[in-house]
Amino acid sequence: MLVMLNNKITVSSKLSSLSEVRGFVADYLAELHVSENDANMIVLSVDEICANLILHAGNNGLEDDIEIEINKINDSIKVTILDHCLSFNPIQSKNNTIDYLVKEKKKGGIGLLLVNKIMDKIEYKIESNYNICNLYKFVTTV
Amino acid sequence: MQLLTRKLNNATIISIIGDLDASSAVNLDNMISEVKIGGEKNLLFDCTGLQYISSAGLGVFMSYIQDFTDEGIFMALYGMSDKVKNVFSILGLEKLIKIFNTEEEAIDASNVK
Repeated sequence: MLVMLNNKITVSSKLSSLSEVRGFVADYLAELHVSENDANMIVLSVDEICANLILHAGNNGLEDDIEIEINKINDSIKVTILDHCLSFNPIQSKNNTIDYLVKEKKKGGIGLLLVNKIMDKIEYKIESNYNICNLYKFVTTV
Repeated sequence: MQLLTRKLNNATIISIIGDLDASSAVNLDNMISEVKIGGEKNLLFDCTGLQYISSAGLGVFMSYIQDFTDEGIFMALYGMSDKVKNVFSILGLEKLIKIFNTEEEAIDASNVK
């Protein structure tokens, strides 16, 4: 399922939705004239958060959706990722080091390291059975 | 994402074409496992067609570093766009994984390892 409303998109909570999410974020940031490098980094961060939700949050066996909204606030981009999955707090997730992950031959665990490196601020809250993750990044425009 | 393999000199080259994300990384992982089981000692990844990589893709390469080091298997990537290379450099992975600009440089490095 794909529903687009200007600065919002709603997709099914499936890995196959990730390319649609990336396309939406890239296109919208291009409309806002966000520099290519900043846009690439925001696209990656949104992809990582959504992939984590899809892979790890679970949805009680029900088909579920993820909503993404992008807003420009002064010189920053705010991306809100909203889902109805079982609670998954990316801020509280284990932040391993690269050396540990290599030694233990882990395939996962670096997505949130990337997001923490890229974004200026990450917020997480639960409201009325929604998980809400806000990502903020100062950007340059061209 | 599409994966193509070919032999060149004493190396197996896997070309990665398209987006390497959480939905496609498992395919690359399976292919590397097959090549490894086949006894290949020089494994190169042609990234000239790689449009996008997320942590799931990085994680596949990372998970083989230790085994390949222990087993003397040479692994290198080449032909990345600046966009893709930048994702590796965010976490300093270019220090753990050999990355070259061209296929020729990667082949030369595999011969002199």
